[in-house]
Amino acid sequence: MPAEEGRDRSTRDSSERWTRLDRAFRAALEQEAPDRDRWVRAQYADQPELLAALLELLAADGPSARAFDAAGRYLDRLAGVALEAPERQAGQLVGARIGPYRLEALLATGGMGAVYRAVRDDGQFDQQVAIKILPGWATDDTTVARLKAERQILSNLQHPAITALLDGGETPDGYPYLVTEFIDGQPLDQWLVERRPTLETRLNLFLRVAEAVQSAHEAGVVHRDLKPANLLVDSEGRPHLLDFGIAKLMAEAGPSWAPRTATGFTPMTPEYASPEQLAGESVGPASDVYQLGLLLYLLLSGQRPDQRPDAPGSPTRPSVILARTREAGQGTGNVDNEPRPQALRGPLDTIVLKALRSDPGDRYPSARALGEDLRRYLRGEPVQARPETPWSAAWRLARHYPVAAALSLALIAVLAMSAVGLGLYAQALEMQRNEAQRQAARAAATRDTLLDLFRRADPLQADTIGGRAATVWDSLDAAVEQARRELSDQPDILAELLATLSGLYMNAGQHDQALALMEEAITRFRDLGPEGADGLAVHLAEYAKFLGEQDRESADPLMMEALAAVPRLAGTDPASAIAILMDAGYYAYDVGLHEQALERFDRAAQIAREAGVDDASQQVELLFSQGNALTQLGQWETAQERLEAALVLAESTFGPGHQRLAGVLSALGNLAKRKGETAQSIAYLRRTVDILESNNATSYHSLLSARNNLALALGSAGRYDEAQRGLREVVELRRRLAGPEGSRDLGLALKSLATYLHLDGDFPAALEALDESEQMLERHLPAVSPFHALPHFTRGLVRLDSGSPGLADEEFRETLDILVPTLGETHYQVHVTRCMRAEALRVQEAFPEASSLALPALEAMRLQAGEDDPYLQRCRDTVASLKPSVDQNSPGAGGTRRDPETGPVPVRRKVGRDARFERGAPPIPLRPVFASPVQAQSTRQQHDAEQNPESGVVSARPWNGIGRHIRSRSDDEDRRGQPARTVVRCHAHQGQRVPAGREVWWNSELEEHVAVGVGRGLPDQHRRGLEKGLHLAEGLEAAGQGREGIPREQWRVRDVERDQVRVRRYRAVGLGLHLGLVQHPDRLLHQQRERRKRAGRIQHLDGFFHDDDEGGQNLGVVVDDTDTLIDGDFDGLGRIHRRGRFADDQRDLVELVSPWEQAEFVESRGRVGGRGVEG
Amino acid sequence: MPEKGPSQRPVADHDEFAGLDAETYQQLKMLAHARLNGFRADMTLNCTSLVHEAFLKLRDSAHVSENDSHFMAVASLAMRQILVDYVRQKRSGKRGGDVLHVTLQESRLESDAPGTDLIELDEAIGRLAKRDPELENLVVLRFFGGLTMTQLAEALSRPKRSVERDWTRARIYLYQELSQGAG
Repeated sequence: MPAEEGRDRSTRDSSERWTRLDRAFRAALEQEAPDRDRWVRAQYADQPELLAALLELLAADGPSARAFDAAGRYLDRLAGVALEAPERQAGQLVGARIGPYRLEALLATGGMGAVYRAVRDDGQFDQQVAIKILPGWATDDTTVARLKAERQILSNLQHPAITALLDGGETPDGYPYLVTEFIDGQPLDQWLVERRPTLETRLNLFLRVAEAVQSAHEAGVVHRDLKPANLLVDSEGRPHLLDFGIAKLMAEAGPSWAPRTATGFTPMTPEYASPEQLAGESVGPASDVYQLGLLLYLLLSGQRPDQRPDAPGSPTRPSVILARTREAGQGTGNVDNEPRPQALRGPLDTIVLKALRSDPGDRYPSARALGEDLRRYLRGEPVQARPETPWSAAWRLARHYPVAAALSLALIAVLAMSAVGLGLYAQALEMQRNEAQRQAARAAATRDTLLDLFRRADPLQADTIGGRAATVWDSLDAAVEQARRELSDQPDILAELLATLSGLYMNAGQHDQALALMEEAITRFRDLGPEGADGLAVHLAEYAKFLGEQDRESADPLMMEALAAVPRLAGTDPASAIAILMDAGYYAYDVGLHEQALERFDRAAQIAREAGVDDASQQVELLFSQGNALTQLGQWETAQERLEAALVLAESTFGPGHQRLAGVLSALGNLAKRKGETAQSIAYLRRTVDILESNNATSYHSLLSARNNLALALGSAGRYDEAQRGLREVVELRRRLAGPEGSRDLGLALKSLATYLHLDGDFPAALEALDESEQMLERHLPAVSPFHALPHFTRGLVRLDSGSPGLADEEFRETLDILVPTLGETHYQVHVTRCMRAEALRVQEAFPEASSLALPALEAMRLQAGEDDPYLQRCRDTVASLKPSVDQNSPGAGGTRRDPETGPVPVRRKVGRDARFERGAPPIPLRPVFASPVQAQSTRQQHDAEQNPESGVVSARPWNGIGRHIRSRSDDEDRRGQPARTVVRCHAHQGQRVPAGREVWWNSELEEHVAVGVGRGLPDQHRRGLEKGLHLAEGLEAAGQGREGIPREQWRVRDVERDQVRVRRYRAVGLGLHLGLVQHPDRLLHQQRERRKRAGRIQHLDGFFHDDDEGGQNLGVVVDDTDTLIDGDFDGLGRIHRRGRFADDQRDLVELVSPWEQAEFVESRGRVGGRGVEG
Repeated sequence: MPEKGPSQRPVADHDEFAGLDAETYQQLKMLAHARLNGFRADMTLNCTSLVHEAFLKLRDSAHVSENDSHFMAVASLAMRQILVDYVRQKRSGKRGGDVLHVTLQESRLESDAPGTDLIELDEAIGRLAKRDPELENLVVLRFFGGLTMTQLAEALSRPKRSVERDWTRARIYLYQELSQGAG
């Protein structure tokens, strides 16, 4: 086929020519316009043909630009005409004839075409009709035939309220037209405004409309475009529906370019479209029911709903709209007839909103059902419609946007909990819409988004909600049920959702349900197999973190499983890997395993770095976490570096006043305070407070806590006035927050305030504050609690200093009556109180009693407190002043005398006989009363230490999480051939509340070594502590380490409130101290803190520094045969977690304890050494 | 936060056009009707404002979430089809000697520009597309979509100068083609 070949070639040639030309033309256009001609002439002088073509092209520049300008204007005009045709043109048809009809007047134009009044003037009838000329072009026979068939169906519609279709056809140029009865009436909205009919009239009209729609539905015709303009009311008040089925007809006759969807091209009026119409879904009778709802809405309230049909949530109730309108004075004129808002409230509102549900399945099943419910109302019977609950509303969303379902639910929770939720809500809805479109591929992102929202919406605000939130939580159960039902075919989403809901339960403080739900989610993730593996790992970590609070033993393997996924995820999904490591890090942090926590945070940071995660927010969180862990580990300089880096990054990312800075600043402030840099601490804390305040304090708790810390830091710096002022404000805010009932926190803040009032010498005010504090504590603390002693003790000090030693004595006795049963005889605070009481007695010249109290107390205190302890100094003063009085039987030689000029101010006394009051001496620094050491030591040890006060401490390392372990070995003892002794000194953690009767102490004087498991706190934790102790003992026995092999049945476990629990003859002590918990403002799981707060386990105490980084600890203590303490970082189960911290000589001892532990030890060392996920 | 990525290339091929964006069409059409319902009868109708308004409306209704330029491409293409179809329809109707079109003010549509014959222009664009599809895309956005050079540059993620050069190129080719007769 040579001809074809030739054509091919010529095409190819032409194409090549064009390509050459185009290349040259492009090059020419690179030049500045004026230079182009010259340039091409120079460039292509050797190619005359090409040059000519180029010059021609360049010459066309100006003309083509002008031509396209003109063409553009033409196009604009054309667009106007094309898009308005044929409606506008049709207006000019008045007087024209179509078929037998003569067009008399243009009645209306619109998207549905133009409507004329016409008469049939072929002499057969003299009938007025309406003729509607539809837009669109019925150009082919098929379309014409289809239109005819449709018309046939429509003409069968027979109902008084439906305008009958009389005739139809196509205009000569192909526009379809329809002929209907001519109705002389007003559109519904106009009728309402002009007639102002009564409620009853309105409802009766509506009932007829609903009947008409029902009858059409029964004939298989859906209106699709019910709106006021299509509902005419004649002069006798009868409704006439226009355009029945026209929409569908139009769809059939749609313009040729209109893409065909399943439903065809469906014209509609957006303002009155049903949600499914807007969504382009198939439209059925339910759409008419929706539009009937809109008509009813209009009939009742005079307005359309104020939101888009596809907007989430129900429209505002008609009664509310009506009330608003009336308030605005818009309903002036003859309003007597009009419905009143009160009349709409209740059933009518509910009926309308049911018709307007965005899910067709939630509406009335038919127009008839809607009418019937309305009739029920008119008859005074209960209606069937029920108000939609928030949860069903949420589920409505969930069904439409399954991926985003979790988000909406989470948002409701956020809303319920936070005053700032609205902004987030709006923001998230936007997100939700987008997510709905992106569908399952973005499920993970959705989840991240919502978790992020969670993190940002501080659930601490639950404080401000009080009981209100409870109702929302109540419906969670229903939500869960619904989730299981509705999402059963989408197991992955269901699993995600359940995990999220679990978080809501956590927030609600319903931890059993939360755990159960999370377990279910995890099971479902497992069932998903490999597909669910990533989600499983992430949620396992979360779950383990939850669970670890209560059951460390079960949680451990789960956390390990989650961590095992980290190496895999680090490559594929770094965000999840980081999330797991963060959870795991805090999991360790929670129990004081700060080194392990730090390893995990470091690893997370490493992954973030390697993956190039450039998320400043996350960076801040990582640095912040590292900083906290380092602080806990006493690595203050590095901690400082990290926290400062976090601060710089947060500042540059979020701005200097952003709320995200608060946590970091607070951590820096607390770190500075630890380092003794008071001024620095104050600066940081002040900034924390400023930021929280300027951000409207999304969390009162954080703000108050920061202010409290700031006030105390100011106090430490000797700035009492400011401290007092700050505490006053805290008290006021707490008072406002708590309402008339008051709160425990208020009681404690009052107590702190009283201390400063006391220092200030304002005794009446101090006493007043203490009275209130006492009341608050009585009301909000358990009946048995050492905290009840706080106001008494301080009141005693006030009484003492204000010259009422008798009253002071009473207060101190009262204090002791509370403390001894709750804290035990040996508690430091007990000694302090005894000494103070001795001072009161001495002032009253009861010297023998004073001495008998003071001397042993001082001895005990000397063992427990540092030299700089102000109470110790004061006690020394008392004893010193007693000695002469005992010796000389002469009072007043000591420091009891008041300096008449200075009045009773707190003073520090000098030691010894010359003790006297010093005016202006530095006052006694405030110390947390209960932050004094929880002493655990043997009497014999006391005795030894007393003899060798300077000996003993061979190693001490600061350990801020829970206290301080001092491994002591007395050389003197060794010399005497006695076994070395151990002092286990656990400083109570700052902020720790020592619960009733669960003092922990270990008495090494017992003949037998003991295994003690003590849980502190709530009863179940107490029990858990016991179990742990037993467990430990069992482990030891199994390991053949039971000292004398006492059979198990002979173990004695004494579970008594204020006794130690003994399992005899085993040489381990496990102290389960459930003290604090991680506080990390950005953690999802910090609801734990909430829970504990509710459970009353964390307190602001007298002068207590409320740390943002309270650690918790399950502490195990192991002693060797010589009673030497081998490190104490057990988890209470005999497993040593803090490996690698042992000195070489200690490791041997540890390995002695049990092969079981040894195995753990070795394994863990392997991991530390680089094996496993954290290496 | 529009996503950056391949989808930003605003080339809407016809399949995508027909399949994906039925709603876009519908919205465009409805928008035009809404105008004519008298809400904004005084406003000047033109392609640009229509396309933009349609875009805003669609974006609000959350049907458009991807990015602006993709929508602009689709909407411009829609406008092209609407107008070309309209002219075709008008022509075929004319052949029937109908009552309605008599009333049309033909003069409103007269123009001495080569674009007068929209169908010819459309065909010329089609031929240009075979040689350089990117030019077609650009012409549709510029001419039917009414995008400014700045918007074009943004939509195409290209430097403005380069887009300007291409537009010059395209309009000269088209002008030449049309003034030389269908070639």
